[in-house]
Amino acid sequence: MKGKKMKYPLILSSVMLLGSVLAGCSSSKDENASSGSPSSGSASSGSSAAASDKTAGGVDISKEAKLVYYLWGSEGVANKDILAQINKKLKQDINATIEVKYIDWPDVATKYPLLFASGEKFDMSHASPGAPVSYFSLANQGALVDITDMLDKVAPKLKAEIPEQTWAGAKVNGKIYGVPSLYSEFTPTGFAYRSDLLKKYGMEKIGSIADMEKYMDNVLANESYPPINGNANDAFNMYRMLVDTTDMWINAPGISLTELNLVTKSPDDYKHVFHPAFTQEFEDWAVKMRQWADKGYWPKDILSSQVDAGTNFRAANSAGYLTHAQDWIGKYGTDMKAQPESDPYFYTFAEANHKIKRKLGVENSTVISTNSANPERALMAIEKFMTDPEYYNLIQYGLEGRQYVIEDGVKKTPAGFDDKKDGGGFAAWSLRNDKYNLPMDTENPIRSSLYDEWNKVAINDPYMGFSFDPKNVTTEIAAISNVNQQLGMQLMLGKTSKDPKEAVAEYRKQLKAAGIDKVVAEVEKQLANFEKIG
Amino acid sequence: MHVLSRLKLHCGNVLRELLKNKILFLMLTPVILYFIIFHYLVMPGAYVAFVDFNISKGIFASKFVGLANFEFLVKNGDLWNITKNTLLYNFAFLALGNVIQIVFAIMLYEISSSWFKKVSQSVLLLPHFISMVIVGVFAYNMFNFKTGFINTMLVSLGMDRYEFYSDPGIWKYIIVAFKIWSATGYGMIVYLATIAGINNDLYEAAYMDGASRSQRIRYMTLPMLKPTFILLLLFGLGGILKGSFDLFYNLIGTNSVLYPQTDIIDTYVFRSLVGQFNFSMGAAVGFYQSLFGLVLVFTVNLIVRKIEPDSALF
Amino acid sequence: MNAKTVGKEDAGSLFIKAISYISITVFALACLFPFVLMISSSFMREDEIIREGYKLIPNHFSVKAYEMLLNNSDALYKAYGVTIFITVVGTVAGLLMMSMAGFVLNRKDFKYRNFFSFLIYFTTLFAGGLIPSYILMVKYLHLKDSLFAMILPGVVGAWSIFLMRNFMKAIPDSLYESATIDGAGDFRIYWQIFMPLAIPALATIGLFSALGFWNEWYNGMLYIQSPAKYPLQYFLQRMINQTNIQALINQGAVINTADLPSQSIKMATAVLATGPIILLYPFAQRYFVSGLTIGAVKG
Repeated sequence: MKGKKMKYPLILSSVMLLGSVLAGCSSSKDENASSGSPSSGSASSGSSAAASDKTAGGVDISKEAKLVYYLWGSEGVANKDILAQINKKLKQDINATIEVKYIDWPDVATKYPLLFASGEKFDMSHASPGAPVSYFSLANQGALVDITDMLDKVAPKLKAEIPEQTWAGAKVNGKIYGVPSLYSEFTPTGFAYRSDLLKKYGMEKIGSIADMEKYMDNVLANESYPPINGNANDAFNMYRMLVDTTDMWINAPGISLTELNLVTKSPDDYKHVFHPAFTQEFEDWAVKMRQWADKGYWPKDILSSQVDAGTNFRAANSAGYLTHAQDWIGKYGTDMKAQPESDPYFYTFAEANHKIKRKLGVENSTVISTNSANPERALMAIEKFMTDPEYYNLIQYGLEGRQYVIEDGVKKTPAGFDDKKDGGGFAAWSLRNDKYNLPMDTENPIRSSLYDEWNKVAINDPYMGFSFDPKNVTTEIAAISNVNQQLGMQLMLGKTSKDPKEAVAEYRKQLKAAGIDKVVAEVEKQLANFEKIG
Repeated sequence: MHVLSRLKLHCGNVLRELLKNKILFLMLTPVILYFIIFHYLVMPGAYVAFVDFNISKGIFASKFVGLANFEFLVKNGDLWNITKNTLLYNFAFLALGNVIQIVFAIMLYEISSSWFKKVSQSVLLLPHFISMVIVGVFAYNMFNFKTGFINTMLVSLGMDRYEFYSDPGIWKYIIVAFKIWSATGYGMIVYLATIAGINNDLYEAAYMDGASRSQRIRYMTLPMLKPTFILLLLFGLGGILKGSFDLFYNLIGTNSVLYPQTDIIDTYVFRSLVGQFNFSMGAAVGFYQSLFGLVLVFTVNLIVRKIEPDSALF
Repeated sequence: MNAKTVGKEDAGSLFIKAISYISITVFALACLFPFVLMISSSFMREDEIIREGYKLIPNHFSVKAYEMLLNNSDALYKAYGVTIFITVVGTVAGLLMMSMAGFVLNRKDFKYRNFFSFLIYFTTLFAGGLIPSYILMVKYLHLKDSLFAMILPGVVGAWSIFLMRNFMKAIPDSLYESATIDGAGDFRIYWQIFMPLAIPALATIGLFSALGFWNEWYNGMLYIQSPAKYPLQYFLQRMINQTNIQALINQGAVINTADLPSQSIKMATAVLATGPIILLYPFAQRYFVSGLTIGAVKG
C-alpha cells in the first residue's frame, strides 16, 4: 500500500482502453519449460501452428475464447456497458470476449509484479521497460509469449501498421514479446507550476534550477502552502532532475528506472555506464536537496505521506508538482477545472541541455502472458484495438454520445454527461495509435506545437533495441533496490538522519556491498556486443 | 517378506479402523483437509529459498542455487539487521510485557473494591479487541506532523513541532508502548487467574499470622507466579522470531527512514513479496525464520521438560 | 475477620494499596485515551484541524464527517457488508469444523487421534512461508479477489481445536457411553449431546474467531483487488493513507474538495469501524475471560 509509483498517470484519467485478445489455440504452457533463456517463449508459435489447421485466416476460432485483460486504474461506473459493446463486436469478429481486471493505482507497484510472479492465469496486460517489473525482465524470464511469428500469421495488419524501427525497439534477443503503441509523445520529467503565481511574483518563466528556486522561495514567502507537496516517489523525480540537468547524462539500463538508476556520460559513450552516486555532482545534489528540504520546499512528513503531488496540487495544497510532460499536458483540463486561474506551465529539466528523448513504442506495450490459454486470440484482439477505429474509439473513449462526442475533430464531453452514471473508461494507453487518436478538450492545447518543436530537437535513446538480461545479477539488483528504497530515497528528499555528505558516503558503501560494481560490469559486458540503431 | 506382511497388516488395520469409525473420520476431514491444503501443501514451497526464482518456470523448475540467497543476505548485512531488530523487539515485548502484566495482576488482586476491579479489568482488556489498523489510526491521530495531537500540544505550549515520522529512534518506544498497551489486559487476566488459584486458605493463614500485605506479595504471591511466568516466558522465547507484522506494518508502513530500527523479519519478507526485490531472497529469510523458530521451540521444550515436565508441549 | 484485617493494615500495606489504585487508574486512562481522542477528533471541524491539529476538546463541534459518510458512502456500506459476511460465514464454518475435530480428537476409541493431533500441532511449528502461500492461493486455488481468500486462511486454528478438545475432555465419558447404548450414532452424539454442553467453549472460541474476522485486513490487502470487496479494516487503512477520500467514498459525486472533511472523516470512519466492537464488548468480554481461564497457562 504504499509507495507506489504513478508512472503514467497521465493519460489515464482521460483515456482508456483495454486490450484484449484472443486467441486460438493453445498449449502455450509446455513450451515455457525451456524458458529462462531468452528464446523461451518462442515455442508457442509452434504449438499453435499445429492446432490452427482447422480454420480460416489460419486460426481456429471455432471455440469461444474468454480473455482476461489486466489494466491499471479502477473500474468506472460505465465500464461494463462499454465492455459489453466491445465484446459484442469481438464475439462476432473473432469469437472472443474480454474480462477486464483492474489493479488500482496505489497498488500498481506491488500487485503488478505479483501478477506475473504468482503464476496467475490471465491473457494480456500492459508492459514497459520502466514499469515496476520491466518488460525486458518479463521477456527474459519467459513470462511473455513470443509473438514474432504469430504476428505474421494472425495479425498481419498489425504487423504492417507498426514501423520496423518500432518493432526493433520491442525486440529482446531478436524476438518480439509485446505490441508497442503507436502514439507519439514525450515524457521528459519536469516541474508543473502555476502561471498565475509566476506572474504575481513578477517572473517570466522557469527555465533553470535557479528560476525554480526563486519561484519556490516566493511561494514560501507568500502562500500558505508549500511549493511541492507529494510523497516518497518525488525522490525519484528529484533524481531525474539531477540526471536531466547534468551535462549529457542519459539514463542507462541495468537498474530499474523507477529507482536511482545507472547513467551514461553521453549518448556517444553509451557503452560505458556508471552510477551517479560516485560523482561529485551527486554529492552536491544531496547537499542541495537537504537545503531544499530544510527550507520547506516540501513538507517534513513527505516520506510518510501517501498522497501524490498532483492530487495535492489540485486540492490547492501546493504550488506545483513534479511529473513528466505528457502527464502535465493530459491533466491540464483537470488542473484547470480544480483551479481555473492556475494555468499550469512546465519546466522541462532536460530541455536546456538538448537531451529530450523520443519515446519508444516499447515504453507502452501490450503483452500476452505465457499463462494465456489463447495467445492468438489475444493478439487478434490487440490488432483490432489498434487498427480498427471503431474498436479504438470504444476502448479509448467509450460510447459515442455517452462518454464522448466529436466536435470539429476534438473529443469532448457530451452535454448530458453525468459522471455518476456515465463516468468511466479504460486506461489502455498502450493501445494508442496516432492515426486514430483524437485531440481532447481536456488536454493542454499546447501539445501539438510543443511536440512539433521537441520533435525537431529530440534525440534518440541510444539504448533503443537493447535489452538487458538481469539473470546473472538478480540478487545484486534486489539488494541495490533495497538500498535505493531507503538511503537513496532519503538522500533525494534531504531526509537522511546524518549530514548529507556522510550519508552519501554511507550510500556509496552500501551500494558497493550490494554489488553495484558487478551490475555495472554485467551491463557493460552485454553492451559490448550492442550497436546503437541509427 | 516379513516387512511386506507387516505392511499389509498395518494397512489392514488402518482400513478396519477407517470402516469402524467412518463417521468420525468424516467429521475430522474438513479440518484435516484445511491443514493439508493451507499448511502442508505450502511447506514444500519453502524450497523457493534455494532457487533463483524464475517467473515462468515456477518454484520447482527454477535453478537450484544452494545457499546463495542466504550468503548474499549475510554479506549485505540485511539478515543481521532484521534478526537483531526482531530479537530485541520481541525480547522487550516479552520481558517488559510480562513484568508489567504481573505487577498489574498483583495490584488488581490487592484491591478490595469489586466495582473498581471489574471496571478496570474491562478497560484494560479493551485494547486487545482492537485491530492494528485502528492502532495505526491512533498513531496517525497522535503523531502526524501537521495535525497530530502531540504536535498540537507542543505548538500550544509554544514549542516546535516534532517530526516523529523522520526519527527512527523514537519509534522503538512507540512500538513497544503500543504493544504493552494492547497486551497488558490480556496477560494480566492470565496471571490474575493464577493468583486466584492460589489457595485462599493459605492467604487467610497468612493474615492470621500477621503477615503484612507486602510480605504476602513477596513470600507468597510472587513465588507462586514464578512457574507461570517462566513458562510463558519460555513459550514466548520459542516464538521470538515471529514478529507482530500487524503492529509494525500499520505503524511504520513504507516509511523507509524508519526501517533501520523498525524493520523486522516479517516486514522484510513482506516487502520482498510485494516490492521490487526478489522472491527468493525474501523466501530465504522466511525459511531461516521458520527453521530457527523450530529449533528454538524444541530447545525451549527441552528446558521446560527438565524444570516442569507436566507443562512440556511434547 | 474483616475488622481484624483492617486492624492489620500497616503503613506499607496502605501504601501498596494506594499505589495500586493510582497505577491502575492511570493505565486505564491510557487505554481509553486514544479512543477518546479519536472520537473527539471525528467531531472536529475541518478548518480547525487544518489550522490547529487534532484536539481532545475541540472549539467547535461538527457532525459533518458523519453526515458525509452516512449519506454518500456506498463504499463504506459495502465494506461493512463484506466484513459482516466474512465474520458470520467464517465463524460459523470454523466453529463447526473445529468442534467436530475437537470431538473426534477427544474420543479415546479413535485410534489415530495422536497422529492427527500431531499433524495439526506441527503446523504451528513450521510454516512454508508467505511467498509459497501466496502462489498457492492465487495460482492453484484461484482465490484472488474472492471473499473466500479472507475466510479460508483463518477459518480454523490449531490452538482453538485443542481448546475445544480440552473442553470436551471435561464432559464425562458416562454420557457418551449411555448414548451409545441407546444406539445413537457418532454424529448424533456430537450434535445432540456434546454440542449443547459445549456452548461455553463455542462462545469463547467463536468470539476469538469472530474478532479475528472482524479485524481482518491482511488477506484483503494481499488478495482483494475490487474496491467493492474490501473488508472494513482494509477500507479504513486505505482511507487513512489517502487524501482523495472523495474517490474512495463516493465514486464520482462532485464535491468541492475544500469543503471535504478529509481529516475528520478518517477518524469518523475509524469510529464506525470500531463501534460494533465497543457495543458488543461488555457481552463478549465475559466469555473471553472465561475462555482465557480454560485455556490459560498451557498456552
